Amino acid sequence: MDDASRDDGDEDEVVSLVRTAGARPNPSAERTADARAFFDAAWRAELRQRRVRSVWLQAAAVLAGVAALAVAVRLGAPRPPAVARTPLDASVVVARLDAGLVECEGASGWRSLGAGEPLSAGGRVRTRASGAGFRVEDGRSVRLAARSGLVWDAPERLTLESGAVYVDSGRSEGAGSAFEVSTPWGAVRETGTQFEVRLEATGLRVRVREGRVSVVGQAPAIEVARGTELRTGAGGVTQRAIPVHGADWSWTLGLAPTFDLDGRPSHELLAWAAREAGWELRYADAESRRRAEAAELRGSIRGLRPDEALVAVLPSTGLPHRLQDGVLWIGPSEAGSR
Amino acid sequence: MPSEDLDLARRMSARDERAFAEFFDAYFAPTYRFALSRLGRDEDAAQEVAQAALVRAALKISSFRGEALLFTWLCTFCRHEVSAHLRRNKGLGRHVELREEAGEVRSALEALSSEPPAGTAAASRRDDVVRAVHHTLDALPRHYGDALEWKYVLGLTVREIADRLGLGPKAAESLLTRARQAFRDRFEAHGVEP
Repeated sequence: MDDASRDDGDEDEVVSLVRTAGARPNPSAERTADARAFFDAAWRAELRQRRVRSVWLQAAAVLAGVAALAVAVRLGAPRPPAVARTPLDASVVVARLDAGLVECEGASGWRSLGAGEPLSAGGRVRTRASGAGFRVEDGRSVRLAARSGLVWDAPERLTLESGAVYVDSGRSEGAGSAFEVSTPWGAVRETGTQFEVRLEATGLRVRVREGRVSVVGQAPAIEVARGTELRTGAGGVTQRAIPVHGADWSWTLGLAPTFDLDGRPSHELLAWAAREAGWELRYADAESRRRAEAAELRGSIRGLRPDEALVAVLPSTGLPHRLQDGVLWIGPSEAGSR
Repeated sequence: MPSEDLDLARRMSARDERAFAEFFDAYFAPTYRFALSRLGRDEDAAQEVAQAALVRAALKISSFRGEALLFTWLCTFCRHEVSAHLRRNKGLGRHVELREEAGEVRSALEALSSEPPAGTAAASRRDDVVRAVHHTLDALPRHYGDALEWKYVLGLTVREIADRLGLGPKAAESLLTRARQAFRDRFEAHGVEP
């Protein structure tokens, strides 16, 4: 068939418009591959967990406590020799992938780490457009932001190579061993808290969400309270107050470990979600607290962010809630807050 | 075609793995472009939004009734993800509000006929038209947009298009005719928005 001869009748305005506008922009092959991996992992995981999402009430009463936390941060000169390295033992499992997508470096290059797959000491991982959440053997949650990389030296120590990492130890000060994030700009050591460490072009940024921070380096030690951001690097050391909730922390929510609510009281869900989101949990009255402690939940919230889980679950409990200036109020609005 | 869309949706509802792959192959790029044009050309953000929209839509595929094209339905998820992304990032001033003007093919063609200096109203209008043309191609029934682009942008022959679509040459010619008419109808009725 002579195709050219058939074009004569095609040359209308639509043809000219399509031709002049040119080809549609396509995402790069690498971007498409990343998205495909995310899509495949997400729909498979979701469909596996889907059977539940219904939540209902039963009587019970348990109370969960939220740990008091503290942080000790030590910042030194660039590339401090103080970040001691112990010999790596590749047989030691340091963490398992809990959420998101991540690649680990192997003998034949980078490969995707599967959900629940263990990461050995010395393992180097990186994220692309999505972050990743790890569950450490001792229960800590370590979340690597998108476009970040680290080497996990030992169960309690990692080296941040790029981007940002968030650590939630969820334990009281002094309990267990300290977790350490080392960077070219210093080491950040904690004894139980929620904090973020981010490498920037000319230094290090540390944001503490709970507990206290002690900065030790070339300058005199600085005690810094919760809700503070520290920057150190070429421009010296600065600090400023920051909110412990809101957009700056939202990337960590999607990587939070799943809360197993089956059989637990609403109060525990509220405490978990509030802590993950950086909100203060308050009850408007004693009756609301009693009801939250007595209401036992059934089902699963797998796949939901902590803030999404609240929206999904609370209506079934009959407990009204609202957010006001970083406070999660539970109970009727006329009963307590302002 | 809606029947194709419904068939794909049914297979996904039945958890046919190949259907999920087909869904991704068919709709990631159009959804990415849809997001890209609304996120100030931020490619990372567009990828995040598009992949999230695809996942959410895939998980709700059983609610697709075929009352609109699957891509039109998918765009509602993408809009939601764009809004959520902008809320999370406080807007950042990168959101692009698309005008919902209906496109008139002849005037659109005139806007594309020149190369106005960057930053001028004429250049902005030209960008809008290019984006509207691309979106219209994405919003056509499956294969229509591809066939038009293959023929009139990439210069494939009818026979090559027929081979790609598994059709005979006559059927491919007929498809191109229908695609041109569908493009005109949609562009003039909807302009930028699906």
